[in-house]
Amino acid sequence: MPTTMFLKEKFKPSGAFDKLKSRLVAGGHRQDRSLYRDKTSSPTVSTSCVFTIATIAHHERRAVATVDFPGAYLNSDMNTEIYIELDKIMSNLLMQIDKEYTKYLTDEGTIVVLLKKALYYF
Amino acid sequence: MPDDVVINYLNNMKEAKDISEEKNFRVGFGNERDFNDVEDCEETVENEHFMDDVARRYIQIRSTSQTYDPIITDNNIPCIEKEEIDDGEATEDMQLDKSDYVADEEKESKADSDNDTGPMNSNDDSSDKCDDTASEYIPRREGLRTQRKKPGSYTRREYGLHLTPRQAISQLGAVAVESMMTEIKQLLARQSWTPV
Repeated sequence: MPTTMFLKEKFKPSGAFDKLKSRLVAGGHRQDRSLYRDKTSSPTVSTSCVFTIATIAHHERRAVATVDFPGAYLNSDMNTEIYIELDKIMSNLLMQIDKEYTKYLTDEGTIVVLLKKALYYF
Repeated sequence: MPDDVVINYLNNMKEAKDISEEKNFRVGFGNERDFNDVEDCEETVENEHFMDDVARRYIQIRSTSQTYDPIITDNNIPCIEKEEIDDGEATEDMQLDKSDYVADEEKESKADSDNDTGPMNSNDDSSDKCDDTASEYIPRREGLRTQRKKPGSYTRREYGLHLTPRQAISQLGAVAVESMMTEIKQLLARQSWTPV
């Protein structure tokens, strides 16, 4: 499957530039549909549940804290065999970081890798 | 409805010979002759164009030599006298609104005089004055909104909030490269893939 890297500018509440976040996503539109026919759910917490818990916590005067797991999607192992192709820019950056990837460079200037962890699809 | 259609319809009724005494239709109103008398008159009157006369009597035919023209010219502009507004009973708010409206009209007239719109100005002047001897007005259908701003000139065009790597490198330079390197390093640290 092809991959795409996109970047997003993040700004502070004051409007000043904070940071630039980048994310590598796989082209799920090129994936075989039979591999994920019954596995398309993406459960997230509902807004009503969040407000209910906040109300109960306020009523019982509990301390509330939030926790974020950066790169949580990288903790799930892949059960299927999926290959992705990194484009030229990603391949160059990857070879700058780890020079062992140079021998895996294809004639088109890309690198094909086998996924072991989950990635975001588009 | 065109006049020829009505006349032909009435002539066809004459030929049908089954005109009943009841009124089948009635256009307009006539005091001299009623439609109930049509059958009697048909027997007595020898005029072949009797139904045409009926049609002319009961149907008001507009005999104008002018043809229909959707373009408003100086000749067919109706001269409507402006209604005088009685300000005696108006409240202060209404007077203020009226003054604002007059001020806006003055602004628009000034803007029109500043902009070279050509025949549009002559149309406005002629409609206000309603003079028969107005200057020649050349109607036009195209280019009526030449003063309108072109699409894209009034808003800042944004194609998307995300940046591609090439756009980010060209716009932000080293910051974009560093961000992408961080993402790749994170993937390598988690051992997300193995090269093939």
